[in-house]
This record gives sequence, structure tokens and C-alpha cells, in this order.
Amino acid sequence: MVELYKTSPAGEGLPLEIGTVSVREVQTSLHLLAPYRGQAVQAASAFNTQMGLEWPGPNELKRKGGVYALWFDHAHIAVMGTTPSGRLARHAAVTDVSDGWTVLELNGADVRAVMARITPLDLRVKHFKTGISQRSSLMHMQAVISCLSKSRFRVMVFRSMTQTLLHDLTTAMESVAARAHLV
Amino acid sequence: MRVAGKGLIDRNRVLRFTFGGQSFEGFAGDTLASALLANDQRLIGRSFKYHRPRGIVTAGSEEPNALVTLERGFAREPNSRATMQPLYDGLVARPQNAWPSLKFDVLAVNDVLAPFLSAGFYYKTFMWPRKFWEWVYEPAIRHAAGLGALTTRYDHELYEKAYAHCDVLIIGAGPAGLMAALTAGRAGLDVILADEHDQLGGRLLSEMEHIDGMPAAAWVQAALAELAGIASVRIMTNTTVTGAYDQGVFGALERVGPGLEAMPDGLPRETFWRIYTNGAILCAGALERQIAFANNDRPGIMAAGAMRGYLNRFGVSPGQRVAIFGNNADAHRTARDFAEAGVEVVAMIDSRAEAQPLGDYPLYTGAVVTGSRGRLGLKSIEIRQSDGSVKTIDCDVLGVSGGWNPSVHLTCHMNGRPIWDPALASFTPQPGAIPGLVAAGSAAGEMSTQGALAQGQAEALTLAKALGKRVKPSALPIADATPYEITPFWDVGGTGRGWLDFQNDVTVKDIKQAVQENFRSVEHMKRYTTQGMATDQGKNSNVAALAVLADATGRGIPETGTTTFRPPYVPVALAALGAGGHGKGFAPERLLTSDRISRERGAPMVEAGLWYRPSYFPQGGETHWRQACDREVQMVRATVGICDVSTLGKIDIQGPDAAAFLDFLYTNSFASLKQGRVRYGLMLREDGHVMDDGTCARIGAAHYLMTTTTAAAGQVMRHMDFVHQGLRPNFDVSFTSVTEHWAQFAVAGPEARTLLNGILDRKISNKTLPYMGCKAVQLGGIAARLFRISFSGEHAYELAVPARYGEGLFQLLFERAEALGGGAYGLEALNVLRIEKGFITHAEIHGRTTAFDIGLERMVSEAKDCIGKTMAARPGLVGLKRDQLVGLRPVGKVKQIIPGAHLFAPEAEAVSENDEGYVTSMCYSPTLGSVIAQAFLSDGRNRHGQQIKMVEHLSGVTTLCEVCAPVFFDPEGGRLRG
Repeated sequence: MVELYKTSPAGEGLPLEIGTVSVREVQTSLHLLAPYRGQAVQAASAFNTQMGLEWPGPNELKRKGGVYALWFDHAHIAVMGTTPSGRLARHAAVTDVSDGWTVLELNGADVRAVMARITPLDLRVKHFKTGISQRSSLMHMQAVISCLSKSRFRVMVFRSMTQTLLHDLTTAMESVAARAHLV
Repeated sequence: MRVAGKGLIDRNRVLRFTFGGQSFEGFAGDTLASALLANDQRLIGRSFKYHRPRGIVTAGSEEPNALVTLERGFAREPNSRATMQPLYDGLVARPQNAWPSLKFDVLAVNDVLAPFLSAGFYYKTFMWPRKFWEWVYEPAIRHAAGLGALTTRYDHELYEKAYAHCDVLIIGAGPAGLMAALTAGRAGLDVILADEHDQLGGRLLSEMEHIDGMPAAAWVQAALAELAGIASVRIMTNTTVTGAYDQGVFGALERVGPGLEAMPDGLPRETFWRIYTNGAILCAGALERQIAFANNDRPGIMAAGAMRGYLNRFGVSPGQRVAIFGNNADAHRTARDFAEAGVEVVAMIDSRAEAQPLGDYPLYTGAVVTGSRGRLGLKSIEIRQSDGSVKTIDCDVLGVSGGWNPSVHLTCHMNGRPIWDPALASFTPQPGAIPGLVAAGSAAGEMSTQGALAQGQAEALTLAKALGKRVKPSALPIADATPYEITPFWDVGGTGRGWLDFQNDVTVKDIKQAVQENFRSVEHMKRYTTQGMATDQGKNSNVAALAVLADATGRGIPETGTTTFRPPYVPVALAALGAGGHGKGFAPERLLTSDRISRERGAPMVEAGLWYRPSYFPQGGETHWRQACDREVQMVRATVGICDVSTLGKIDIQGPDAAAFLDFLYTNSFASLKQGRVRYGLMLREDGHVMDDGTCARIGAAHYLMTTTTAAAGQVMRHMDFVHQGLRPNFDVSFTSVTEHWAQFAVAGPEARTLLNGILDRKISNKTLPYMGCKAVQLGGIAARLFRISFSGEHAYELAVPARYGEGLFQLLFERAEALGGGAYGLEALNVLRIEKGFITHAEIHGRTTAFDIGLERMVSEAKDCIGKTMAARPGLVGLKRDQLVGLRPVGKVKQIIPGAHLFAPEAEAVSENDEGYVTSMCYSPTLGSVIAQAFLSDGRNRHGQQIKMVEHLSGVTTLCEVCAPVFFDPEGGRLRG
């Protein structure tokens, strides 16, 4: 029997720390869920039973322990950290995209200043608060950007674009860190 | 010279700098301009057209003359305004537009030739001989034109873009802006206070005023201290708001750390901000204008308000004998401040007969300045007194004030026109011209400090209430409320040249000449004379110029109107607008999981959309890509080759109506596809032309996996979303892109199955996985998908694993293939293989071809409807005259076939009237030992065996070809099924 080795999207490029902000890669399962026609209630119920979470509404992120559920697009939510149950799969189309997305976690005092250089989202604390997750552009990429706390964000882009994401993040982090010299 | 006891500079910190190679000293808190003036350096540059000696005129971003090139290492920043550049230790600046030196400039000969170089001269002068324009005149003019020059080295400087959001954007931090910020901040609004200077306070730093009993500068410090304590207030210094755009969006240019001695790594030189706000208050102040008189452009002739600023803020007197010329009461403040500072004020010349002095200085009422002397710096002025007598006054600096123009620019960025206020003799903002933006303070025409404070507070309160905040106004600070008094006066007249636009060397005479030549509209006048162009956009000269125009045309100023104010308010480097868009920031790079190994194997990468795919895998001794390509093609035909095909779009489709949905999307049926089988499908656009092709596998009763071409993956996904949401919302189907989740590799060639059976946990056979079958497999216990499909014409498979195993699988496949005498193949070989087999790509389905054209009309099912079916049957989209897909081989001496070349009958002239088709793809086929090609040819399917002439007009290549079927290799398909 052959043995295949695994690689993570960011590989040795992470973790990274520049200025007050650190970046690490989150390796997690990721499934997209889309309820079948007329089965949103049953899907939400099965979801709640398995995850102990409410079905996330638009731009929402729900979290319990290591399980994250977030609004993904007009048709889908995304579940990270667990595999949807068979019962759930009866009411919703479940697609495994665990390897399709790079998930990075950014943490640090200047995280919003860093993100303000790569996404047009309104990142003011009272607007982009814990439990918000939005689709937006991240430089030239489409991304999922979620707020886990005042100074902690999750950023997701397509796996193949990981190196570009790291480049863009590094540039923004270096810029923000260099501004410490302005004070 | 420095004036003792004046200014907000730190005299304990000496900063050294050079200008034009000469060393100087200044103090912390200086700008480059104030430090140069302190060192009595009056000559700063040469003018654009006549190379006249020029000095500093203003103290702000409107500066027309004092443009210098700043140098930091190899970096060059031309056209930097000395007035906006904070001084730092080691600053290096160079004058511009002068050769060989600032004091002796050869092109100053233009000034002598001025009678021949008046406005519009080149429109008339360079008409003959006609050919000379392109070869003589234009190169000569281009050589002479321009101000600073960019470095020719690669620009390593960093620029960035960023976004900011707020409730209220306050533009300018003078009295109105600070009061507005205090009020809005106290109300709990998110405030951005942006000011283009490094020190906030605006005119309050330049005036000897008191607010609430304390010096204005001290009040500014108190206000800033309070603002710093309000978390919702964000202060952006060195930030010029450059444009107002739709829906509360403003552009702003931040010069980052312009006063830093050393730029830390990673710090951008400039940041271009996009600021999104609910409301904006324009507190940008006002700009002082000049009065035209003969030779009013000499170094030492300045704006009176700026002169006062240099004295009060920087402790600098630009000269030892000061004269002032004005038409308004404000000019007298300059005379008063200089007199009180102990500088000799030799004359205050006021064109108003009723003018009253503010202090102890000689006042000439009803008088005007008629001329000046001093080639490289002012030495004396000539005045005409109220009784008509003429007097010469020795002075080395003259402050001029023709009044103040409110900075209405941003209010006009959506094509609003300012309103003429006769009392102010200025244009004021048109209310509502920018939705959500109001003006306050002198930008709104309220010239007193008290009035500015009141307006700033009032507008902030109005905005706070509109945004749902309940606020009580705090007591308004008590400040100077002296009214602004002005009697318009634009041009002294006389025979000499009176300068209006210093940056473009436009005189009163030029404007009058434009009128004489019937360029009477203000827009025509601007273009004829160039008044108001270049980096300052006529900030000092526009109103005076149109006043002169109005006078010359006999119209009033309101009827004459202004030219159009457009963004940006100050020059913005393209590097800032396009920040982050070069190098790795140009576009995302999509890398395959096999990328590292392919590069290690020396494979050059080729871009396919955003993807980087290996072009070929060179081996020792190969010196040309064709050698590698030919070898890889032969390898696939003889043994086995592997190729990363992960870039193809993969869309997972689930739901009870998945089959019906696919039947509506594709021309052929997928409801009839059995589980475990794959079918080739064709997708049309709504207009009936082919959109994409690919395979679709049925991996469950209500579960399909569609593949798209690499190029059209996004387009197909968007199309499916449109079809589902717009055309078939009743279908219970869900789909999502899984392109990135799966790493997929083609394994092609006679030894393909041997290779796979060496790595799969359970072996496959023709029976367990026949051609166009698919199944779930395992390798090393890992769940994978195996599809028996071929894009090469060989016995082939595509094996897909979750992307985390992609690199590992590619490594394994590569090694196993090599052990069987095969290896990896790249995009070049893939292309040859598919052309040999007659498969198409987007070179063929390029958006103008139909299913009929590519010979697949039978794939459009008659049993069902599909998108594009009706439109594809339109007259003209089928029939003999359509260009149809054919194969071509060269049959004459010339063997070259060039994609894009057109086809003509052998005897026909190669002109468009005789055009019969075009070549889409070509390759050298090592399998057939010949160049082969795919082409579209009129009635092509009936012309197999005929000869056709290929002509490539760009390179002049003509090749005689034989028309044949597009499938060159294994037309029966025996190898696919083996």
C-alpha cells in the first residue's frame, strides 16, 4: 500500500509575526451546507441538534468550542471543525471543501489596521464585531473575513492563492508595523 | 532671516539640509520653504515656459513656484512643494527646470524671445513645413517641456492603498475643522479629521489671535489634546482629501512620515485612502490670490497671508524691508505683525482709498504697485499714488493680497458650480453640490475666526442630529470677529507683463490675446493659454484670470463662470493610485499542489488565467522547448505520462433536480447518464454560441460532478447561478465549486492502467472501469476519485485526491511513471496531444462558434430544451456558409502554419473579400511527423481533400495546405478503449 504525505496550504510560510500581529494557519475540516427546497427548518433543527448552534444568518458566525458555522453565500453556510451528520445530509446538500480553502487566523492589537489595507470592509469595532463574517475582496482575491474578537480575525481564500495572501498580508503587516516609527 | 522671539519652531534642534548642493541649517518644526527663507534663499526655481527666476509664494499645497526634487538615496520625488515638506536632518533637495544652474539658466533665453512665444504661439508657428512637427518641433518642445523628472531607476519606494470608514469626515483642521471635530467627537460620532499639513491648526498657527483669552496656537493644542482623548476621533495628518465621489466616498492622499530622517523598512511613502463616510464637513479654508502688475513674479513677491504665516509660525521674515500691497483689510494684518515683530515695514499700499491702518507703518491709500526690479530677487517696487505720482520704494519682499478664495474645489467634483458672492468678491460653494457634504468656515466664505468656529460647531451639530445623536452645544469659544472688507481689484494694467498663472507663465496679455482670437469661453481660454493647468491647477490664479477674462469680454464674473474643478485636489502619484498592483501584487497567483516539484524539475511556468502551469519538463541535453515537448508527446503515446489537470473547474451538483438542471444547461442529456459513468457535454450561451465544454460524471443518484475548462470555470459557475436564480428557481438543486478541494492528475498512455494498479488499493480493469466510467477508489487508505477520460486520445484516467495529498500524489505518480519509461508532461505536450486527436479548446470555442461549426450539432438533443437551443437554430448560425472546423496540413514547400492566419482559395488574392476562414491552433506532431492545425473554413466539412492557401499578413507567410478531418490520430478511438 502506498503512502502519501500531506502538505498544508501555507506550509513553512507560517506562523508569522510582524509588529503586534501574528498569523497562523488553521487546519480544519470545512463543509458547505445548502438546505434542500422546503427543508430549511429541518436542516436547521438537525444542525442545532448536532452542533448546538443556531443556523447562521447572513454575515453571521456562530461558534461553540472548536466548531464554527458561518454564513457563506446566498445558498450556503460553512461548518468548520466537525463533519455534518448523516441526518443533516438528508435535509441539506453537504459538500466537503476542507482542502479547497486556506484558513488563517490573525491576532494582535493592530489587526484591524492591517486588514484595512487589504479589504474595503467597514472594520470599525462597533460595526465589525465578534460574530460577524462577511464575503469581501482581499486585494484582488475574494475572501471570507470573520471576526472572532476585537483583535482576532479569520481570513479564508482559495487554497491555490495562499502565497498571494501571505504576500499581501506580509506587506500590510510590515506597513502597519513601520508606522510605529511615526509616533 | 530669523526673527527673535517668534514662531512655533524648536530652536534647540538644529537640522542640516542641502538645496542645490549648498548646505543650510533650519530648526525642528520648519518646512523646507521656511528654512530656505530663513537662510535668505529667495531664488528657488525657474518657471515652466520662460525660465524666469521664481521664489516661494505661498505656505501651502497651492504653491506654484517652489517645486523641488527631493532625494533619498536613489529615490527621487520630483515636483515636491517646498511649502509642504517638513524639514528633517539630512534632507536633500534640488531645484528644477534650470540648466546649468539656478542662477544662470540657458533656457532663460525664452524670456527674451517672449514676444514670439505668446499664448497659442505653437499652434501658429509650428504649422509649416508639415513634416517638421513630428520630427523637429514636437521632439524639441517635449525636450524643453516638463518640470521635474522621474528617476530612470526602478522605483523601490513603497506605496499603499487603504480604506477608512467614519460617520463624519472633516476636511481641514483650522478653526472650523477643529470646532467641528470637537463637537462631533463629543457627540460620540466616529470622526476622521484630515489635514494636509503635518501640524494641525490651519491659519490659527499663522495668526496673532486669541481664542478664549489664550493665544490661538495654545487653543489649538488644547483642542488637539481633547481630541486625542476621544477614542472615536481619528486624526490624519499630512493627508489631503483629493476627491469627492458618489455615495459618501472620498479619496485622500497621505504622505507618510514626510519628516522622518530615515524611512523604516516597510513604511510606504504615500497611502491612498478611500474614506467612506455618512457626512463630510469641508473646512479647507481659503487661498489668497495675487494682483497682477508688471513683473509681479520676482522672487521676494509673495502672498501677504503666507508671509505673515512664515513670521508667526516659523519666526522667519522673508526680507529685511517689507512692503505690502493689498485690496482688503486682511493684508494690513501682515503689515501690523511685521511692524510689531520689529521688522521694517517700508510701505503698505492699499488700492482702497478708504483703507485704515492697523498699526504703525507707512500707508499709501488709493495706491497701486506698478512694477518691480531685481532679476534674481526683489530690490524695489514702483508705486503709483492716489494723486498719480510715481514713487520707487526699496524693499526686498513684497506681500500681495488680492483677496481670499474659499477652497470650493471638492464641492465641485460632481460637476457642481460655485456661486459668485459679490460681497466677498469670490466664489462660494453651492450647497448640496456633493450629497452629504457641507462647507464651514472660510471655505464657505465665513472669513472671521469667530464665524468659522460657529459654523464648524453648527454643521457638526446638524450632522450629529441627523445621525441620531442627542447633543447639547457647548459654549462657543470667543475669538476674533473682525469682518472681511474687500474692494475687488485684479489688474494694475500698464505695458509690462503682469503675471497671473506663475506655474504656466500666463500673463494678463495672454488672456486678452485669447479673447482677441475669439477664445472667449473660460474653458477655451484655459486651453488656449494653459492657465490653470499643471500641478497647482491654477489655485492662485483661476479667479483673477477669469476676472480679467470677464473684463476683456465685457461680461460679468458670474456669467463668465469657472472652469471645471476635477479631482484630484493635489497631484497624486500613479504609484499611489495603483499601489500594490505591481510585482506579486499585480494579480493573484494560483499555484498547483504540484508547483514545488514541477519547479524543482526545471519546468518553466506558463500562465493559464491566474494559474501557473508547467509548460514542459526539460531533461538533460535538451536545449529547446520543442525537444522536450516532442519527447513528452511520444512518451504519452508509447508508455505513460502524467499531467496536473487540477486547474479545470470542478462543480459539485446535488439535489433531486440535479439531472433536470443539467439537462437544461447542457445540449445533451444527463438524466440518462448512469451512475458511475461520465459524459462529454456541451454548454451553449443564451445566444446559441458554444460557451464551454467538459465532462460531467454521475457519482450518485442525485449527485453529479461537472468539469469545466480552466478558462471558463468562473464563467460557468456564474452562468449556473444565473440560470438557477433567474430561469429555474423552482429546481431543487445545489452546486458549489470544488475546484480547489481536489488535486487531479491525468495519467495517460498505454501503461496508464499499469501505473495505477501499482498504487491503488484495489486494482482496476477494463471491466471494472471501462472508458467513460468513474468510481470511488482508495490509495494508501485515502479516498480518491478515478475517472476514465482522455484529452490525449490515449488510454487515460484522471485521478483526484483531496488537495492536501496533491503534492504527495504527484511525486508518487512521477516516480512510478518514470519507472515505466514515462514521466510528467506539460501544457505544450498536452496541446499537441489534443490537436492530434482533434479535441477542441477555447481557441476553437472562442465565443463566435456554434455546435454546428465544431461538428457537434448532433449533440444538441432534439428530445429536450436547453439554453441556447432556439437561438442556435437561427438562420445564419447553421448552413454551408458557416466556417466549420477542419484539420490542415501543409503540402507545399512552406511548412509553417500560424494561428490567426486567414484562409483563401489557392488562386485568390489574399484580401478580406476572399477570406474563407482562419487557423485556430497548430502544432508540430511528432507522432505524424508533420505540422498540423485546426481551422475554421467555410463549408469546411465538404472540402476535405481540397487545397487552401494560408496567408499570415503580419509576417508575410503563405502556406499551401490540404484540408482534412480535424481528427488526425486514431480516429476510430481504439486506443481510448484499450
